[in-house]
Amino acid sequence: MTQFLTSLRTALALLLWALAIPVHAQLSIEITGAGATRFPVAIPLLEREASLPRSITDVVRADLERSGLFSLVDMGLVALPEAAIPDLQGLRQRGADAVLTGSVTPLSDGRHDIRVRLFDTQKGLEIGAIAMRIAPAQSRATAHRIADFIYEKLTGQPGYFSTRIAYVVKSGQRYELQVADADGENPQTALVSREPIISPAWAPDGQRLAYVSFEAKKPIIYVHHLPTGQRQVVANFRGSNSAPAWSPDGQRLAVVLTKDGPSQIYLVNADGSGVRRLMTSSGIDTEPAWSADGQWIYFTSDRGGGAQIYRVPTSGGTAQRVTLEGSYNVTPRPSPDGRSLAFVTRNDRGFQLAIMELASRQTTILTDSVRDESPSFAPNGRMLLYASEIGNRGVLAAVSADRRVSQRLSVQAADVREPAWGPLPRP
Amino acid sequence: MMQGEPSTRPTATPATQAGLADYQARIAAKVRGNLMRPPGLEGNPEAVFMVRQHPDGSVVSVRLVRSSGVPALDDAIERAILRSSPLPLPAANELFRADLELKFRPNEQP
Repeated sequence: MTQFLTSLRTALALLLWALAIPVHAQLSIEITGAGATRFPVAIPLLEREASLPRSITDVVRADLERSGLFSLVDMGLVALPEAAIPDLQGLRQRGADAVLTGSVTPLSDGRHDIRVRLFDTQKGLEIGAIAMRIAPAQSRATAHRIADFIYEKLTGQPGYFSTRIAYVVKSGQRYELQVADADGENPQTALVSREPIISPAWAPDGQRLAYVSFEAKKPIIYVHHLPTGQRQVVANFRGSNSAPAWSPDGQRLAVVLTKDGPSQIYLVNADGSGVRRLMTSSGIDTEPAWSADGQWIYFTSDRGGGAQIYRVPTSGGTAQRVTLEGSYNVTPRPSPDGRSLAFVTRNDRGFQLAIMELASRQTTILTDSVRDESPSFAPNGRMLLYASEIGNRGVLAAVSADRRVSQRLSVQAADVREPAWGPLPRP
Repeated sequence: MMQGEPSTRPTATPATQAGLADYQARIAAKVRGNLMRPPGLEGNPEAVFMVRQHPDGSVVSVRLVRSSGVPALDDAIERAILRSSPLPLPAANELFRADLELKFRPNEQP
Protein backbone atom coordinates (compact mmCIF):
# COMPACT_ATOMS: atom_id res chain seq x y z
CA MET A 1 0.00 0.00 0.00
CA THR A 2 2.77 2.39 1.00
CA GLN A 3 4.68 1.42 -2.10
CA PHE A 4 1.59 1.98 -4.22
CA LEU A 5 1.10 5.44 -2.70
CA THR A 6 4.73 6.29 -3.29
CA SER A 7 4.60 5.30 -6.93
CA LEU A 8 1.31 7.14 -7.36
CA ARG A 9 2.87 10.22 -5.83
CA THR A 10 5.88 9.92 -8.08
CA ALA A 11 3.71 9.45 -11.14
CA LEU A 12 1.64 12.48 -10.19
CA ALA A 13 4.72 14.55 -9.60
CA LEU A 14 6.10 13.58 -12.99
CA LEU A 15 2.77 14.31 -14.62
CA LEU A 16 2.57 17.75 -13.03
CA TRP A 17 6.16 18.36 -13.98
CA ALA A 18 5.46 17.48 -17.59
CA LEU A 19 2.39 19.73 -17.54
CA ALA A 20 4.37 22.57 -16.04
CA ILE A 21 6.86 22.40 -18.87
CA PRO A 22 4.84 21.93 -22.05
CA VAL A 23 7.72 21.47 -24.42
CA HIS A 24 6.06 22.55 -27.64
CA ALA A 25 3.90 25.31 -26.27
CA GLN A 26 5.06 28.81 -25.52
CA LEU A 27 7.59 29.46 -22.83
CA SER A 28 6.50 31.72 -20.01
CA ILE A 29 9.11 33.99 -18.44
CA GLU A 30 8.75 36.28 -15.45
CA ILE A 31 10.84 39.41 -15.53
CA THR A 32 11.01 41.38 -12.31
CA GLY A 33 13.08 44.52 -11.77
CA ALA A 34 14.52 46.77 -14.43
CA GLY A 35 18.22 47.08 -15.16
CA ALA A 36 18.56 50.09 -17.44
CA THR A 37 18.97 53.48 -15.83
CA ARG A 38 19.19 55.83 -18.78
CA PHE A 39 17.28 56.13 -22.01
CA PRO A 40 19.70 56.33 -24.96
CA VAL A 41 18.76 59.14 -27.34
CA ALA A 42 20.44 60.76 -30.31
CA ILE A 43 20.08 64.53 -30.64
CA PRO A 44 21.94 65.45 -33.83
CA LEU A 45 22.19 69.05 -35.05
CA LEU A 46 19.15 70.58 -36.67
CA GLU A 47 19.44 71.35 -40.34
CA ARG A 48 20.60 75.00 -40.72
CA GLU A 49 20.94 75.33 -36.95
CA ALA A 50 23.95 77.60 -37.53
CA SER A 51 21.56 80.25 -38.88
CA LEU A 52 20.57 80.90 -35.25
CA PRO A 53 22.85 83.02 -33.05
CA ARG A 54 22.91 80.27 -30.38
CA SER A 55 22.75 76.52 -30.63
CA ILE A 56 19.49 74.86 -29.70
CA THR A 57 20.56 71.23 -29.61
CA ASP A 58 23.43 71.95 -27.16
CA VAL A 59 20.82 73.12 -24.65
CA VAL A 60 18.49 70.18 -25.40
CA ARG A 61 21.33 67.72 -24.83
CA ALA A 62 22.38 69.44 -21.59
CA ASP A 63 18.80 69.41 -20.26
CA LEU A 64 18.30 65.71 -21.01
CA GLU A 65 21.71 64.76 -19.64
CA ARG A 66 21.16 66.72 -16.42
CA SER A 67 17.83 64.98 -15.77
CA GLY A 68 19.76 61.77 -15.21
CA LEU A 69 17.22 59.80 -17.25
CA PHE A 70 18.89 59.94 -20.65
CA SER A 71 22.24 59.07 -22.16
CA LEU A 72 23.29 60.77 -25.37
CA VAL A 73 24.47 58.83 -28.38
CA ASP A 74 27.17 60.93 -30.02
CA MET A 75 26.20 61.94 -33.54
CA GLY A 76 29.19 64.20 -34.30
CA LEU A 77 28.30 67.06 -36.63
CA VAL A 78 25.57 65.21 -38.47
CA ALA A 79 22.30 67.07 -39.06
CA LEU A 80 19.14 65.09 -39.80
CA PRO A 81 16.60 67.24 -41.65
CA GLU A 82 12.99 67.27 -40.53
CA ALA A 83 11.66 66.44 -44.01
CA ALA A 84 13.41 63.06 -44.27
CA ILE A 85 12.82 59.80 -42.44
CA PRO A 86 16.13 58.97 -40.75
CA ASP A 87 17.89 55.63 -41.03
CA LEU A 88 16.21 54.18 -37.93
CA GLN A 89 17.89 50.81 -38.19
CA GLY A 90 21.34 52.39 -38.42
CA LEU A 91 20.56 54.60 -35.43
CA ARG A 92 19.33 51.60 -33.49
CA GLN A 93 22.59 49.81 -34.22
CA ARG A 94 24.46 52.82 -32.87
CA GLY A 95 22.55 52.32 -29.62
CA ALA A 96 19.93 55.06 -29.87
CA ASP A 97 16.37 54.14 -28.86
CA ALA A 98 15.05 57.50 -30.03
CA VAL A 99 16.27 60.22 -32.35
CA LEU A 100 15.33 63.83 -32.89
CA THR A 101 15.37 65.26 -36.40
CA GLY A 102 14.69 68.85 -37.28
CA SER A 103 15.21 71.88 -39.44
CA VAL A 104 15.59 75.61 -38.91
CA THR A 105 14.38 77.93 -41.66
CA PRO A 106 15.07 81.68 -41.45
CA LEU A 107 11.97 83.69 -42.37
CA SER A 108 11.85 87.05 -44.17
CA ASP A 109 10.55 88.83 -41.04
CA GLY A 110 13.66 87.92 -39.04
CA ARG A 111 12.03 85.03 -37.20
CA HIS A 112 12.93 81.39 -37.63
CA ASP A 113 10.69 78.45 -38.38
CA ILE A 114 11.69 75.44 -36.27
CA ARG A 115 10.33 71.95 -36.84
CA VAL A 116 11.40 68.85 -34.98
CA ARG A 117 10.28 65.22 -35.07
CA LEU A 118 10.96 62.45 -32.61
CA PHE A 119 11.34 58.84 -33.74
CA ASP A 120 11.38 55.59 -31.83
CA THR A 121 14.12 53.56 -33.49
CA GLN A 122 13.08 50.29 -31.82
CA LYS A 123 9.47 50.40 -32.94
CA GLY A 124 10.43 52.18 -36.15
CA LEU A 125 7.85 54.92 -35.91
CA GLU A 126 7.42 58.61 -35.33
CA ILE A 127 6.41 59.51 -31.76
CA GLY A 128 5.60 63.16 -32.24
CA ALA A 129 6.48 66.47 -33.83
CA ILE A 130 6.38 70.14 -32.95
CA ALA A 131 6.71 73.29 -35.03
CA MET A 132 7.12 76.87 -33.92
CA ARG A 133 8.15 80.28 -35.15
CA ILE A 134 10.55 82.09 -32.88
CA ALA A 135 12.63 85.25 -32.62
CA PRO A 136 16.37 84.46 -32.49
CA ALA A 137 16.46 85.60 -28.83
CA GLN A 138 14.05 82.78 -27.94
CA SER A 139 16.42 79.98 -28.88
CA ARG A 140 17.16 78.96 -25.27
CA ALA A 141 13.47 78.91 -24.37
CA THR A 142 12.79 76.94 -27.55
CA ALA A 143 15.48 74.43 -26.65
CA HIS A 144 13.93 73.91 -23.21
CA ARG A 145 10.55 73.41 -24.86
CA ILE A 146 11.98 70.78 -27.20
CA ALA A 147 13.67 69.04 -24.25
CA ASP A 148 10.31 69.05 -22.40
CA PHE A 149 8.65 67.54 -25.48
CA ILE A 150 11.22 64.73 -25.64
CA TYR A 151 11.06 64.12 -21.88
CA GLU A 152 7.28 63.86 -21.90
CA LYS A 153 7.12 61.62 -25.00
CA LEU A 154 9.71 59.21 -23.64
CA THR A 155 8.89 59.11 -19.91
CA GLY A 156 5.16 59.81 -19.87
CA GLN A 157 5.65 62.69 -17.42
CA PRO A 158 5.78 66.41 -18.11
CA GLY A 159 9.29 67.85 -18.30
CA TYR A 160 10.49 70.74 -16.15
CA PHE A 161 13.14 72.37 -18.32
CA SER A 162 10.94 75.37 -19.21
CA THR A 163 10.35 76.26 -15.58
CA ARG A 164 12.08 79.01 -13.62
CA ILE A 165 13.68 79.13 -10.22
CA ALA A 166 13.95 81.99 -7.71
CA TYR A 167 16.71 82.38 -5.14
CA VAL A 168 18.53 85.03 -3.11
CA VAL A 169 22.13 86.00 -3.82
CA LYS A 170 24.12 87.72 -1.10
CA SER A 171 27.25 89.65 -2.02
CA GLY A 172 28.69 91.76 0.77
CA GLN A 173 25.78 93.68 2.27
CA ARG A 174 23.76 93.41 -0.92
CA TYR A 175 20.85 91.00 -1.28
CA GLU A 176 19.38 90.21 -4.70
CA LEU A 177 16.24 88.24 -5.40
CA GLN A 178 16.89 86.59 -8.75
CA VAL A 179 14.84 84.52 -11.16
CA ALA A 180 16.61 82.19 -13.61
CA ASP A 181 15.82 79.33 -15.99
CA ALA A 182 15.71 75.92 -14.31
CA ASP A 183 19.27 75.25 -15.52
CA GLY A 184 20.51 78.35 -13.66
CA GLU A 185 21.06 80.30 -16.88
CA ASN A 186 19.57 83.63 -17.86
CA PRO A 187 19.36 85.14 -14.34
CA GLN A 188 17.26 88.28 -13.92
CA THR A 189 17.19 90.43 -10.80
CA ALA A 190 13.73 91.06 -9.39
CA LEU A 191 14.71 92.99 -6.25
CA VAL A 192 17.86 94.48 -4.72
CA SER A 193 18.07 95.38 -1.03
CA ARG A 194 20.63 96.19 1.64
CA GLU A 195 18.59 94.09 4.07
CA PRO A 196 17.86 90.35 3.91
CA ILE A 197 15.26 88.88 1.55
CA ILE A 198 14.04 85.40 2.49
CA SER A 199 11.41 82.75 1.76
CA PRO A 200 10.50 83.43 -1.87
CA ALA A 201 7.39 81.42 -2.87
CA TRP A 202 5.97 81.12 -6.39
CA ALA A 203 2.29 81.72 -7.01
CA PRO A 204 0.77 78.91 -9.12
CA ASP A 205 0.44 81.35 -12.05
CA GLY A 206 4.24 81.66 -12.28
CA GLN A 207 3.86 85.45 -12.46
CA ARG A 208 3.99 86.40 -8.78
CA LEU A 209 6.47 85.78 -6.00
CA ALA A 210 5.66 86.20 -2.33
CA TYR A 211 8.64 86.78 -0.04
CA VAL A 212 9.80 88.33 3.19
CA SER A 213 11.90 91.47 2.91
CA PHE A 214 13.62 93.28 5.81
CA GLU A 215 14.05 96.46 3.75
CA ALA A 216 11.88 98.40 6.24
CA LYS A 217 14.09 97.06 9.09
CA LYS A 218 11.47 94.44 10.01
CA PRO A 219 10.13 91.32 8.28
CA ILE A 220 7.22 92.21 6.00
CA ILE A 221 5.57 89.93 3.43
CA TYR A 222 5.25 91.26 -0.11
CA VAL A 223 3.71 89.89 -3.29
CA HIS A 224 5.78 90.87 -6.33
CA HIS A 225 4.31 90.73 -9.85
CA LEU A 226 7.33 89.79 -11.97
CA PRO A 227 6.26 91.04 -15.43
CA THR A 228 5.56 94.57 -14.13
CA GLY A 229 7.75 94.71 -11.02
CA GLN A 230 4.75 95.94 -9.01
CA ARG A 231 4.72 95.01 -5.35
CA GLN A 232 2.05 94.83 -2.71
CA VAL A 233 2.38 94.47 1.04
CA VAL A 234 0.40 91.40 2.10
CA ALA A 235 1.24 91.24 5.79
CA ASN A 236 2.77 94.04 7.87
CA PHE A 237 1.51 93.45 11.37
CA ARG A 238 3.16 94.25 14.66
CA GLY A 239 6.04 91.85 15.25
CA SER A 240 7.21 89.38 12.62
CA ASN A 241 5.53 88.50 9.28
CA SER A 242 7.14 85.44 7.71
CA ALA A 243 7.05 82.16 5.74
CA PRO A 244 4.42 82.89 3.04
CA ALA A 245 2.94 79.84 1.26
CA TRP A 246 0.46 79.98 -1.65
CA SER A 247 -2.77 78.05 -1.80
CA PRO A 248 -2.94 75.83 -4.93
CA ASP A 249 -5.55 78.15 -6.47
CA GLY A 250 -3.34 81.21 -5.94
CA GLN A 251 -6.11 83.04 -4.07
CA ARG A 252 -4.71 82.87 -0.54
CA LEU A 253 -1.51 82.69 1.43
CA ALA A 254 -0.69 80.96 4.66
CA VAL A 255 1.62 83.20 6.67
CA VAL A 256 3.25 83.21 10.09
CA LEU A 257 2.56 86.20 12.33
CA THR A 258 3.50 87.12 15.90
CA LYS A 259 0.90 89.85 16.26
CA ASP A 260 -0.98 87.92 18.94
CA GLY A 261 2.00 86.40 20.76
CA PRO A 262 4.30 83.57 19.66
CA SER A 263 4.51 82.52 15.97
CA GLN A 264 1.15 81.26 14.72
CA ILE A 265 -0.24 80.41 11.29
CA TYR A 266 -2.81 82.69 9.64
CA LEU A 267 -4.55 82.64 6.28
CA VAL A 268 -4.76 85.83 4.26
CA ASN A 269 -6.11 86.71 0.81
CA ALA A 270 -3.45 87.37 -1.83
CA ASP A 271 -4.22 91.11 -1.65
CA GLY A 272 -3.63 91.20 2.10
CA SER A 273 -7.30 91.29 3.11
CA GLY A 274 -9.27 88.88 5.28
CA VAL A 275 -6.55 87.73 7.67
CA ARG A 276 -7.68 85.00 10.05
CA ARG A 277 -5.93 82.70 12.45
CA LEU A 278 -5.85 79.04 11.35
CA MET A 279 -5.58 77.56 14.85
CA THR A 280 -4.49 78.37 18.35
CA SER A 281 -1.47 76.43 19.42
CA SER A 282 0.37 76.06 22.68
CA GLY A 283 3.77 76.30 20.93
CA ILE A 284 5.50 77.96 18.02
CA ASP A 285 3.97 77.07 14.65
CA THR A 286 5.80 78.03 11.46
CA GLU A 287 6.78 77.08 7.87
CA PRO A 288 3.28 76.34 6.53
CA ALA A 289 2.92 74.54 3.16
CA TRP A 290 -0.30 73.69 1.36
CA SER A 291 -0.94 70.17 0.07
CA ALA A 292 -1.51 70.08 -3.70
CA ASP A 293 -5.21 69.27 -3.23
CA GLY A 294 -5.64 72.28 -0.95
CA GLN A 295 -7.02 70.11 1.89
CA TRP A 296 -4.13 70.31 4.33
CA ILE A 297 -1.57 72.70 5.66
CA TYR A 298 1.66 71.04 6.74
CA PHE A 299 3.74 73.01 9.24
CA THR A 300 6.55 72.82 11.77
CA SER A 301 5.74 73.10 15.47
CA ASP A 302 7.46 72.62 18.83
CA ARG A 303 4.13 71.89 20.56
CA GLY A 304 5.32 68.38 21.45
CA GLY A 305 8.74 69.46 22.69
CA GLY A 306 11.20 69.26 19.78
CA ALA A 307 10.56 70.60 16.29
CA GLN A 308 8.34 68.22 14.34
CA ILE A 309 6.05 68.32 11.31
CA TYR A 310 2.27 68.32 11.70
CA ARG A 311 -0.68 68.86 9.42
CA VAL A 312 -4.05 70.48 9.95
CA PRO A 313 -7.11 70.74 7.67
CA THR A 314 -7.18 74.05 5.77
CA SER A 315 -10.52 74.71 7.43
CA GLY A 316 -8.86 74.47 10.84
CA GLY A 317 -9.36 71.79 13.47
CA THR A 318 -7.09 69.31 15.12
CA ALA A 319 -3.48 68.98 14.00
CA GLN A 320 -1.92 65.54 13.49
CA ARG A 321 1.74 64.80 13.91
CA VAL A 322 3.33 63.58 10.63
CA THR A 323 7.01 62.94 11.42
CA LEU A 324 7.50 60.27 14.03
CA GLU A 325 11.18 59.38 13.71
CA GLY A 326 14.05 61.59 14.83
CA SER A 327 14.24 64.51 17.21
CA TYR A 328 14.19 67.35 14.70
CA ASN A 329 12.18 67.52 11.45
CA VAL A 330 11.36 70.86 9.81
CA THR A 331 10.39 72.60 6.54
CA PRO A 332 7.64 70.31 5.19
CA ARG A 333 7.11 70.41 1.42
CA PRO A 334 4.33 68.15 0.07
CA SER A 335 4.98 66.65 -3.37
CA PRO A 336 2.84 67.80 -6.32
CA ASP A 337 1.14 64.36 -6.50
CA GLY A 338 0.34 64.45 -2.77
CA ARG A 339 1.98 61.08 -2.13
CA SER A 340 5.13 62.19 -0.38
CA LEU A 341 6.55 64.88 1.82
CA ALA A 342 10.03 66.37 1.58
CA PHE A 343 11.51 67.95 4.70
CA VAL A 344 14.75 68.68 6.52
CA THR A 345 15.85 66.30 9.24
CA ARG A 346 18.68 66.61 11.70
CA ASN A 347 20.71 63.50 12.44
CA ASP A 348 24.20 62.86 13.78
CA ARG A 349 25.74 64.11 10.53
CA GLY A 350 23.87 67.37 10.28
CA PHE A 351 20.85 68.74 8.46
CA GLN A 352 19.79 66.68 5.48
CA LEU A 353 16.90 66.43 3.06
CA ALA A 354 14.54 63.53 3.58
CA ILE A 355 11.45 62.30 1.78
CA MET A 356 8.57 60.42 3.36
CA GLU A 357 6.02 58.31 1.53
CA LEU A 358 2.90 59.51 3.30
CA ALA A 359 0.87 56.29 3.00
CA SER A 360 3.55 54.08 4.56
CA ARG A 361 5.42 56.78 6.57
CA GLN A 362 8.65 55.33 5.14
CA THR A 363 11.43 57.92 5.17
CA THR A 364 14.51 58.06 2.93
CA ILE A 365 17.41 60.46 3.44
CA LEU A 366 18.14 62.15 0.10
CA THR A 367 21.30 64.17 0.67
CA ASP A 368 24.57 63.64 2.49
CA SER A 369 26.09 67.02 3.28
CA VAL A 370 25.85 68.69 6.66
CA ARG A 371 23.70 71.78 6.14
CA ASP A 372 20.96 71.24 3.55
CA GLU A 373 17.80 73.32 3.72
CA SER A 374 14.88 74.88 1.80
CA PRO A 375 13.70 71.90 -0.30
CA SER A 376 11.49 72.76 -3.27
CA PHE A 377 9.89 70.27 -5.67
CA ALA A 378 10.04 70.56 -9.46
CA PRO A 379 6.47 70.73 -10.78
CA ASN A 380 6.59 67.10 -11.94
CA GLY A 381 7.76 65.99 -8.48
CA ARG A 382 10.81 64.16 -9.78
CA MET A 383 13.53 66.59 -8.69
CA LEU A 384 14.06 68.70 -5.58
CA LEU A 385 16.01 71.92 -5.51
CA TYR A 386 17.63 72.82 -2.18
CA ALA A 387 20.21 75.02 -0.56
CA SER A 388 23.47 73.52 0.63
CA GLU A 389 26.65 75.01 1.98
CA ILE A 390 30.25 74.70 0.93
CA GLY A 391 32.87 76.58 2.96
CA ASN A 392 30.24 78.85 4.57
CA ARG A 393 29.00 79.81 1.12
CA GLY A 394 25.47 78.93 0.08
CA VAL A 395 25.14 76.87 -3.11
CA LEU A 396 22.10 75.43 -4.87
CA ALA A 397 21.84 71.72 -5.54
CA ALA A 398 19.23 69.33 -6.86
CA VAL A 399 18.46 65.71 -6.10
CA SER A 400 15.90 63.36 -7.63
CA ALA A 401 13.08 62.14 -5.42
CA ASP A 402 14.35 58.56 -5.94
CA ARG A 403 17.87 59.71 -4.88
CA ARG A 404 19.41 58.44 -8.11
CA VAL A 405 20.47 61.80 -9.53
CA SER A 406 22.15 64.61 -7.67
CA GLN A 407 23.81 67.69 -9.03
CA ARG A 408 25.03 71.16 -8.18
CA LEU A 409 23.53 74.18 -9.89
CA SER A 410 26.19 76.68 -10.80
CA VAL A 411 24.29 79.91 -10.53
CA GLN A 412 27.46 81.95 -10.06
CA ALA A 413 30.34 82.29 -7.65
CA ALA A 414 28.32 83.93 -4.90
CA ASP A 415 26.47 83.10 -1.73
CA VAL A 416 23.15 81.70 -2.95
CA ARG A 417 20.29 80.59 -0.71
CA GLU A 418 16.52 80.30 -0.38
CA PRO A 419 15.72 78.53 -3.67
CA ALA A 420 12.16 78.06 -4.90
CA TRP A 421 11.22 76.06 -7.99
CA GLY A 422 8.52 77.73 -10.08
CA PRO A 423 5.45 76.10 -11.67
CA LEU A 424 5.11 74.84 -15.23
CA PRO A 425 4.63 77.74 -17.64
CA ARG A 426 1.03 78.36 -18.60
CA PRO A 427 0.48 77.61 -22.27
CA MET B 1 8.83 3.64 -12.95
CA MET B 2 7.75 5.33 -16.12
CA GLN B 3 10.68 3.97 -18.05
CA GLY B 4 9.75 2.26 -21.23
CA GLU B 5 6.49 4.14 -21.45
CA PRO B 6 5.88 5.22 -25.02
CA SER B 7 6.32 8.95 -25.47
CA THR B 8 5.43 11.13 -28.42
CA ARG B 9 7.28 14.13 -27.06
CA PRO B 10 10.54 14.62 -25.22
CA THR B 11 10.18 13.94 -21.54
CA ALA B 12 11.03 16.69 -19.13
CA THR B 13 14.11 15.17 -17.65
CA PRO B 14 15.96 17.03 -14.92
CA ALA B 15 18.53 18.01 -17.55
CA THR B 16 15.89 19.56 -19.80
CA GLN B 17 14.32 21.28 -16.85
CA ALA B 18 17.64 22.81 -15.88
CA GLY B 19 18.27 23.78 -19.50
CA LEU B 20 14.89 25.48 -19.72
CA ALA B 21 15.38 27.30 -16.45
CA ASP B 22 18.72 28.55 -17.71
CA TYR B 23 17.16 29.59 -21.03
CA GLN B 24 14.39 31.51 -19.20
CA ALA B 25 16.90 33.15 -16.89
CA ARG B 26 19.12 34.32 -19.75
CA ILE B 27 16.20 35.82 -21.67
CA ALA B 28 14.94 37.50 -18.49
CA ALA B 29 18.40 38.89 -17.71
CA LYS B 30 18.87 40.36 -21.17
CA VAL B 31 15.45 41.99 -21.34
CA ARG B 32 15.65 43.21 -17.74
CA GLY B 33 19.01 44.83 -18.50
CA ASN B 34 17.43 46.82 -21.32
CA LEU B 35 14.33 47.88 -19.41
CA MET B 36 14.22 51.35 -17.96
CA ARG B 37 11.51 51.95 -15.40
CA PRO B 38 9.62 55.18 -16.13
CA PRO B 39 10.28 57.79 -13.43
CA GLY B 40 7.77 57.85 -10.59
CA LEU B 41 6.35 54.36 -11.26
CA GLU B 42 4.19 53.48 -8.27
CA GLY B 43 2.75 50.25 -6.92
CA ASN B 44 3.54 46.88 -8.50
CA PRO B 45 2.17 47.04 -12.05
CA GLU B 46 2.34 43.92 -14.22
CA ALA B 47 2.29 43.73 -18.01
CA VAL B 48 2.20 40.63 -20.22
CA PHE B 49 3.66 40.51 -23.72
CA MET B 50 3.71 37.75 -26.33
CA VAL B 51 6.91 37.62 -28.32
CA ARG B 52 7.54 35.56 -31.45
CA GLN B 53 11.11 34.93 -32.46
CA HIS B 54 13.03 33.42 -35.37
CA PRO B 55 15.21 30.37 -34.74
CA ASP B 56 18.21 32.74 -34.53
CA GLY B 57 16.58 34.60 -31.64
CA SER B 58 15.70 37.74 -33.58
CA VAL B 59 12.35 39.17 -32.54
CA VAL B 60 9.63 38.89 -35.18
CA SER B 61 6.75 40.46 -33.29
CA VAL B 62 5.88 41.90 -29.93
CA ARG B 63 2.25 41.94 -28.81
CA LEU B 64 0.88 43.53 -25.66
CA VAL B 65 -1.50 40.97 -24.11
CA ARG B 66 -2.21 42.69 -20.82
CA SER B 67 -1.38 46.33 -20.25
CA SER B 68 0.23 47.48 -17.01
CA GLY B 69 -2.20 50.39 -17.04
CA VAL B 70 0.78 52.74 -17.40
CA PRO B 71 1.29 53.57 -21.09
CA ALA B 72 4.84 54.82 -20.51
CA LEU B 73 5.72 51.48 -18.89
CA ASP B 74 4.12 49.42 -21.69
CA ASP B 75 6.18 51.48 -24.18
CA ALA B 76 9.37 51.05 -22.17
CA ILE B 77 8.86 47.27 -22.02
CA GLU B 78 8.20 47.00 -25.73
CA ARG B 79 11.39 48.94 -26.44
CA ALA B 80 13.34 46.74 -24.01
CA ILE B 81 12.14 43.59 -25.80
CA LEU B 82 13.03 45.00 -29.22
CA ARG B 83 16.37 46.21 -27.93
CA SER B 84 17.10 42.69 -26.67
CA SER B 85 16.83 41.20 -30.16
CA PRO B 86 18.38 38.74 -30.90
CA LEU B 87 17.32 36.99 -27.72
CA PRO B 88 19.65 34.45 -26.09
CA LEU B 89 19.38 30.90 -27.47
CA PRO B 90 19.02 27.77 -25.33
CA ALA B 91 21.94 25.42 -24.75
CA ALA B 92 20.16 22.67 -26.73
CA ASN B 93 18.15 23.26 -29.90
CA GLU B 94 15.17 21.24 -28.72
CA LEU B 95 14.60 23.70 -25.87
CA PHE B 96 14.01 26.56 -28.29
CA ARG B 97 10.50 28.09 -28.27
CA ALA B 98 9.35 30.42 -31.02
CA ASP B 99 6.63 31.85 -28.79
CA LEU B 100 7.44 33.47 -25.49
CA GLU B 101 5.08 34.87 -22.92
CA LEU B 102 6.89 37.57 -20.97
CA LYS B 103 5.47 38.81 -17.67
CA PHE B 104 6.94 42.02 -16.32
CA ARG B 105 6.83 43.37 -12.77
CA PRO B 106 9.54 46.03 -12.88
CA ASN B 107 8.89 47.34 -9.36
CA GLU B 108 9.51 43.91 -7.84
CA GLN B 109 13.02 42.95 -6.78
CA PRO B 110 14.52 40.35 -9.15
